[in-house]
Amino acid sequence: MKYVSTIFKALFLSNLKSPSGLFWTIIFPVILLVILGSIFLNVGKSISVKVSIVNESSTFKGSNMDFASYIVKALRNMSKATDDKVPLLKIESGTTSRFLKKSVKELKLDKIDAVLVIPKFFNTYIYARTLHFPLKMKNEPIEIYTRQNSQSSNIAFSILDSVVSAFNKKFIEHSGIKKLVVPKIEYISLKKSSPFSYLNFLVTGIIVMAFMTVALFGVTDDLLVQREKKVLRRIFVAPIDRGHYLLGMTLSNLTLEVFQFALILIVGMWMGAKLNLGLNAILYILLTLVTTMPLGFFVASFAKSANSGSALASMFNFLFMFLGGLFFPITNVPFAVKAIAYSIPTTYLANGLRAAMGVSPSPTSIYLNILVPVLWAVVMTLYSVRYFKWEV
Amino acid sequence: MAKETIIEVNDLKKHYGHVKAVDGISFKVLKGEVFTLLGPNGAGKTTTLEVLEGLKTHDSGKITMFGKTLRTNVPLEIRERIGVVLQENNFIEHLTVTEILKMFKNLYPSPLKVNEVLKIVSLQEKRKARVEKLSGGQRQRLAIGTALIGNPDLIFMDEPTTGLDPQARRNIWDMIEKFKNSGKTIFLTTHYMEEAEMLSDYVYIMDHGKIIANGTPRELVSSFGEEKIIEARVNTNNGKISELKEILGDIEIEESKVIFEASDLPKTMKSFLDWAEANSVEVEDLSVRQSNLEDVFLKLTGRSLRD
Repeated sequence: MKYVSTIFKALFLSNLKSPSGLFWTIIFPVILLVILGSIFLNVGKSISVKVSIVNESSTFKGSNMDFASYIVKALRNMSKATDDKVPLLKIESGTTSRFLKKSVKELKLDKIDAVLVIPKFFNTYIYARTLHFPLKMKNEPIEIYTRQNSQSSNIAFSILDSVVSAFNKKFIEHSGIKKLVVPKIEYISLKKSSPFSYLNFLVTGIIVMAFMTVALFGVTDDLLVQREKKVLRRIFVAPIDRGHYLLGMTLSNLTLEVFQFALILIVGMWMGAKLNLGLNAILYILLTLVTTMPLGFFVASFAKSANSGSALASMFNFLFMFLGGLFFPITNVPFAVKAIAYSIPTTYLANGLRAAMGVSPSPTSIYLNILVPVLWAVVMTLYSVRYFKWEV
Repeated sequence: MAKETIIEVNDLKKHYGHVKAVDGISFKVLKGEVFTLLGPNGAGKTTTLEVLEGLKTHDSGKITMFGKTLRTNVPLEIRERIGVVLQENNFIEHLTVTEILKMFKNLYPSPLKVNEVLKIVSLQEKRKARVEKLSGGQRQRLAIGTALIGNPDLIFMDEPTTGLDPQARRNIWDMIEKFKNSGKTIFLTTHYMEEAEMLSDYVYIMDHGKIIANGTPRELVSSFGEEKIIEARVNTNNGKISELKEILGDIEIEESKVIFEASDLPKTMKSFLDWAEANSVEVEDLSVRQSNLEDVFLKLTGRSLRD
């Protein structure tokens, strides 16, 4: 134990004092988290559009023939928040032409997304048409103003249009019927039943990435660089066994990962991530720690020199990082990419960790999420035991 | 009383394919002595040392260290009694001199104090310096410090002064003298003749994996060259020098320098000067010296140590 702790202390201290090492293993994941987190914070959040309703209708006011007020009411209902849902619409309404002017101006300035105008004789017109009155009057359509080339404006238009169409349909269907049914309109919220948060998705992905980075670069450095610089030879002529060094080195990297994990978690939560840290989560985190470490052993055994080792580590790092779905979901990638994605361990580790931390249900089975990383770890460990050379 | 034998090696062999790095050598290292393997680069000195340090396994031969026969590797209890200075010394980066010494200290059962070692290797002022900031000489002294911190009985030093400036080299020689005086056994390899001559109690001369001569420096010099050596710089062409060969016999020529043995100094000197005068050859830097290990090596192999 004395030997292991001696090596552990020396390597850990060296890591702590190495500016570049600290940057890549500790600071970089946090920076990545903050950058990606702030760029894509709105991904998966429900949208809501702002609409002004100008109700100029002045006939049949207050009566049950006030069709305009039904439309306004329906739209109002859509702007009410229920449960934890974000309302689809934010509505301001008015009746004056001054309000109309103000609304159009706001639309131009991007402050609102659409303006719906109900004309003055709307109720009269609808009433006449419904009862097939041979009343000669010109069409008084509802007008919707939108902004050109604006996505949110298009969304606002679709919503308003769908409400108005629903009324149209009812009017036509029931023309001649005395009872006018107010259409029931459901929320068309973009939120799924279990709320998806990109930030939670990202934090768990970054945790897997951070572990992988330490395993790939930390272990490669402790084995290949130290071997190449003959530091290992110097240590092994002292009364210490290679097993002691391996253990001390592994512990030093694991400790680094624990610090890393804590830091990412703190920053992630500060940014608003909500993660579950129950027993399952902790067990899965331990599994992730243990199964990523052999990646470094493999690189150290496969590469002949420290240079080729760091190139190989970078290659694995990129492959596992981007195809492992650590930062972005990989559901919509081409088949070939998906085939690779579903053969690498980080995909399963990320899925498993997300499920364990309550971020999102895993698209792969829990057994695979354990089995595949363990299989990788076993194969890489066996390869390393067979092919690693302490001396070059 | 006969000195205790610390290492005994019999017919040690280590081959790499067709290359016979160490080809059946035998030697003994006695307690409290400075033992030197002298030879040019590639003679097999480092390989021999690496086998004894446990970095390499030997193909055949018998090695006994501290009374124990080594099989494949050097057991921990023997490594606890050994200090090693490798040819190339690097340390875990970003650590300070003190931190490195502490790390090695923790690996030994009865180590010296860090401050004590810092004093011996004169690194007190650099105790807080990071290892990557040390000069070549300081790095070498730290390497010696790490070899010393376990308070070993035996210290292996593989070319400890190679690449150092004369001052740094002198410092290391002084240290080796001190270790010897404190009763430690030192196993040295070097290709510097003056180093072997100055420090060693016993020298084995090694070439092409074999030991070609052994003895105390004095014994070696006297058995292979009792004679005085005359060296002179001459300003002439090769034709005239071959004439000189006829007069004096064996002559070594290094650039414009002629080196030859003088079994009878006045007679040989006279013949040389007569030849120079008769041929109007200018003679510069004429000197007479005692023959040394370099001359012994030259005589044994026909090559210079530095070749």
